[in-house]
Amino acid sequence: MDEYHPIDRKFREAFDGFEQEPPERAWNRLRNHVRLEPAEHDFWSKVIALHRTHPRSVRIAALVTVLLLIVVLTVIRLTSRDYQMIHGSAWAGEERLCRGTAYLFKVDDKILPYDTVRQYQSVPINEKGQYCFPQVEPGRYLLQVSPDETSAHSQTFIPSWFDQRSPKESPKLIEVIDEDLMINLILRQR
Amino acid sequence: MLTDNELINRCLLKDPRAQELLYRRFAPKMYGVCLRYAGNEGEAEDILQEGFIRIFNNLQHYRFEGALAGWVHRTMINTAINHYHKNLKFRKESELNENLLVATIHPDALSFLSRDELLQVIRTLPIGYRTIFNLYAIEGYTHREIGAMLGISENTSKSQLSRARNAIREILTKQMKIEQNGRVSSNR
Repeated sequence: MDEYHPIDRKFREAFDGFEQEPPERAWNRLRNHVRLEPAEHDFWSKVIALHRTHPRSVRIAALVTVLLLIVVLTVIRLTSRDYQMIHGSAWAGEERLCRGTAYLFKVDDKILPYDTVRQYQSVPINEKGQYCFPQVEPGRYLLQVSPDETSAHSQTFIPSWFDQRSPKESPKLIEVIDEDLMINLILRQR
Repeated sequence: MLTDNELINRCLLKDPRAQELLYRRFAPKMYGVCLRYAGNEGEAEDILQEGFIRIFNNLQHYRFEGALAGWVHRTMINTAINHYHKNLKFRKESELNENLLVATIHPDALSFLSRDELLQVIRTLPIGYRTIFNLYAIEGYTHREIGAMLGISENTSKSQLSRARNAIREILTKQMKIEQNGRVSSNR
C-alpha cells in the first residue's frame, strides 16, 4: 500500500475499523443454508471436535502419549508371569542335534475336529542342540523337532514328536500352567 | 463470553446458537468489507452470505495460526474476489456507473468527504478498479499478491490502480463542477 498517496490514505483512514450491521434478512437467509443439525453430544463427537480445535502440537503430543502407552502395556503383557518358558535339548542318538528346528503345536479342543492342532511357535536349534520357547501361554501343546536337511543327522534321524516311541503311539501332551518346563526330545531313527 | 476456541468447538458440534453467535460477532465488520467490494447493498449481502457459508464449511480446516478474526477476514476477501471473477465478464471494464453518483456528495476537497460519501465513490468505480483499489489501498496487499489473487500481472495491477485513482479524481471533479454551476445559477 502506498502510504503517501492522499487518495489511498484518505480511504484507508475512513474504512479502518468500519462496521455496519447487516439487515436481519441476511442471517435468515444464511441459516437456511448452513447445516444446523442438533448437536451430538456423544463422547466420540466431542473427542473429534476437540481434536480439530486443538493446535497441532497438542494433537501430536496426545498421539505420542497414546502410542507410548500402547508400547508400555504390550511390554507389560509380554513380560507378565502369565507366560512360561519351554526349553531343552534335542538328541540324535547319543549326540546332540547340531542343526534343526523345534515346533510347538497348540491343541485346541474348541475347534473341530477335537484332535486338531495348529502351529503355535517355531525356534531354531543351536549348535549345542538346545532350543528355547521364551513366551508360551498356558495351554496344551505338542512338541516336534526336525533335523535340518543340511545336517548329517537328517540322513539317519526323522522329524520326531516328544515322547512318541513309535508311529503307532500318540505323542505326549505338554501342559503349560504356571511354571517353566524343561523337555528333552530324542529323535527316532529312520 | 466464549473465547474463539470455545466458539469454534461448539460450531463444529453444529450448535445452532454458537453458529449464530459467530455470525453476530463478525458480521458487522465483514458487511463493511462487503460494502466496499460490492456495487450495491444487494451484492454486498450476497457476498456476505456466500462468505459465511464458506466460513462454516471450512471451519474444520482452521489451523489456529493467527486470530480467528484474521482468518474470517481473509475468507471474506477471497469470496469478494470470487465475486469479481464471476462478474467481470458481464461488465465493461471502463464503464463508470455514473447513475450511482449522489448529488449530496460534498464538493469540497477530499478531506471533507464522509465515509458514506467515500463508499459511494468506490461503488461508482468499475468492478475491476474497485477490487484492486480495495486490495491495495485499504487491505494493504502488494501488486504481486494482487496479481496472484486475481490472475493478472503486477503491471496490470499497477495500471488498474492508477486508473482507479484517476477515476476517483474524475468523479470528484465532476461533482465539484455540478455544485459550482448550481451556485452560479442560484446567484443570478
